[in-house]
Amino acid sequence: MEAKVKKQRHVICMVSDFFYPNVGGVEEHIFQLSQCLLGRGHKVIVLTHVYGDRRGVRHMTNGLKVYYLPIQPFYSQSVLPTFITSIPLLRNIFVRERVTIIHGHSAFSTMAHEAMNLARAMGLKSVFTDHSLFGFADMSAIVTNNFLAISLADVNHCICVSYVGKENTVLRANVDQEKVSVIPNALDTQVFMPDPDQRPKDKINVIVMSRLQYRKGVDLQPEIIRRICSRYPQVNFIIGGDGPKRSILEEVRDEVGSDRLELLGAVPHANVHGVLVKGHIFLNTSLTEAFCIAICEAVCSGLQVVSTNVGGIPEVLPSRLILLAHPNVDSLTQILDVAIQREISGRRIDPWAMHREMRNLYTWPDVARRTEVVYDKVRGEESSADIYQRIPRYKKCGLLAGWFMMFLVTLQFLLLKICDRIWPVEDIDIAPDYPEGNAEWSYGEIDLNSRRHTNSTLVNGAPRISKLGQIRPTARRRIR
Amino acid sequence: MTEWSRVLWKKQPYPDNYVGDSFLRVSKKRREVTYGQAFYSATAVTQEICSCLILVAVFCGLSEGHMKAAGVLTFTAVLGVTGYFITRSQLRSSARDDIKLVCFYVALISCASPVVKSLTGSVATDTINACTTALLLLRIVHQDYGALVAIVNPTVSHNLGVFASVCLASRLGSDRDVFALMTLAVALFALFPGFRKYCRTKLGTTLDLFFTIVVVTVTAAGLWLYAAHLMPLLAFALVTCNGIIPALFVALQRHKQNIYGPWDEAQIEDK
Repeated sequence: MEAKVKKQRHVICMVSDFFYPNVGGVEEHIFQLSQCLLGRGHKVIVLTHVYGDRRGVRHMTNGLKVYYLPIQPFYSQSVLPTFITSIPLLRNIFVRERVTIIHGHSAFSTMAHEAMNLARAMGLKSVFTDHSLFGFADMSAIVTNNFLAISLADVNHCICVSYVGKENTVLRANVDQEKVSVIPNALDTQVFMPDPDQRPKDKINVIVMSRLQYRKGVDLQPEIIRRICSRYPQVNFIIGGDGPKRSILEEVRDEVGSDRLELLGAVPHANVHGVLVKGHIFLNTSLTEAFCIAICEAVCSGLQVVSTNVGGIPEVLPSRLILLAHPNVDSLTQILDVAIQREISGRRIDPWAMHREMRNLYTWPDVARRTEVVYDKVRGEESSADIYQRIPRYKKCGLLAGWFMMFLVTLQFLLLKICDRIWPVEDIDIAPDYPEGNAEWSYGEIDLNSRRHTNSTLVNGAPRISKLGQIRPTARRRIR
Repeated sequence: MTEWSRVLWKKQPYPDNYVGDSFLRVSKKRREVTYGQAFYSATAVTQEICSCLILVAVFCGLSEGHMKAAGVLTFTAVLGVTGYFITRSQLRSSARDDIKLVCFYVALISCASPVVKSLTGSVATDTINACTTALLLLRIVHQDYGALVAIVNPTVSHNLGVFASVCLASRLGSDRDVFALMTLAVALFALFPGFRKYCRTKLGTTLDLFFTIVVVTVTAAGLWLYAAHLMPLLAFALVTCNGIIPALFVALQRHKQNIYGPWDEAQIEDK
């Protein structure tokens, strides 16, 4: 047990519509972050919606408990945000798991917003991580920004993945600048290692790996491929990924021949490394990107990177590891030319040197450590869930949205009172923490006697549970 | 302490929510519009409204017998020839082609006049009035005033104008009246917008304002003489379109905020 600083143990509930078995950036982020936080000794559970037959409680690696709640997805993998009908279910989960912090992911996930709102109503703390960038110009962006502003009006802290993301969140959701932290994404550096034997010695392969849609800049690629293929007979292109714009790449393939341009279709994330090591250069033509983990994976695997300088990409890598271009065909072709020349003349950085440099830059334990700093800060905050203090926070949302939210918050308060009557807190069974062994300490360190309130869920901090005393003796055993 | 730099790959001794100097590099673009500019641009709409009202005034004059068809035809011819000589340099086709086109039009409309005259015999007058009002309003809405927006559709605008004039002309007494009104409609709806665009772009603002004043005076005179019940409408239209709405636009422009920043999707230029 550490004598110097008494580390706080948090019980974190990650909430998002996007989780396994869906595969993507947000899902990977939640899983890896949860694993690292479990390793640091906190308790983590994940809430998400039902995926096909997959409903109920599942346990993943290291005892990560995942609740697949029986709420149907409504539009684009997100549930219908009612704010009212999910109160009893979520309240039950928060009480039985003794959650202290709710961490919502992705602005598109309505379940995350609902859970964070309910958490504040119950007196728990909420943290939000935003993974994407948004414009301000068109109608859909205006509506989404308003909803985000409503949701973030009563959130303890926000996390963004880049400085551009922080600016974007601050501007569009009207959040205080001090309430937003920048914690970048990370990648698994053990998986992405260079393998120079996989690359052909006589040819140069350029890899492109992205979903084939407009915002990834697929419209720029055909012209670049044509120009480079005609100029350098030894350069081939390998494009992985699928999407609505696949047909324009198939047209180019018919022009230059399938030996010059290979279309792999959708590549599962486990096979991405296998494709990357076959290449010498990685090309990224995105038109907008908050962080772009793909270029980091490429650098980690020892490829030279040519990318557009949009969004957060200039902040991600130092200039010796990446070549930046403007998002048009001429600039990208010219920079790709430079990269190919470096490859031909051999004046490029050694792949293992790139990997060694990358290994310390973006790692999941570092992200977890910085997130823990946010949790500690949030835990110590004095933000009350008392209804009289909660309602004025929505005043800054404007006339229509603000008053609507005040009404909704009052309704939530009343419903919570009703739930306390029908399903009192002392009747809710407390779920045992599993596994106890991975935690660095036993339950003895939690301050149990701090709150002696009435049996209501509306208290500051964790709800007071009377049954905890019964579990204490068994939990002292440490299994390592 | 070292300088804070806006990069993610350096381990900096600042907390994660530190706010540096280079934060919030946004550009806020807003076009500043003065009242004079808005007023001047709104004169295009005024001219269009006046041309519609001239048509209605001439219709009232013809149907009540105050005006003669010959008079209307001479008026249209004079206007047409003057406009043609003013815009000579702009036109790409030769004089012979233009004369052929005019002859073709005259022949077509005179053949169509008897047909148009008996077109709406069974339709009530109220319907005709309501239909014409709606069509002329829609025409004003879809007209091309120089802005590149989705609602602008010169073809639709022209067709609506012709439809409105057919509605009106079918109520007239004799074939010659119908012919006169249809010719005037073609001159006002097909040729006048082109003339107006030429004035705006080539002749300068003072001449354009002069033309506007001429048009408004002619409309007012026509309405006063032949359709006095529409004078309040003209006054209301002038005050609203050219006075109140530009002022409202300038006042609201202050609240417009277009925020652009590095998060916006890059635009691919089409070569």
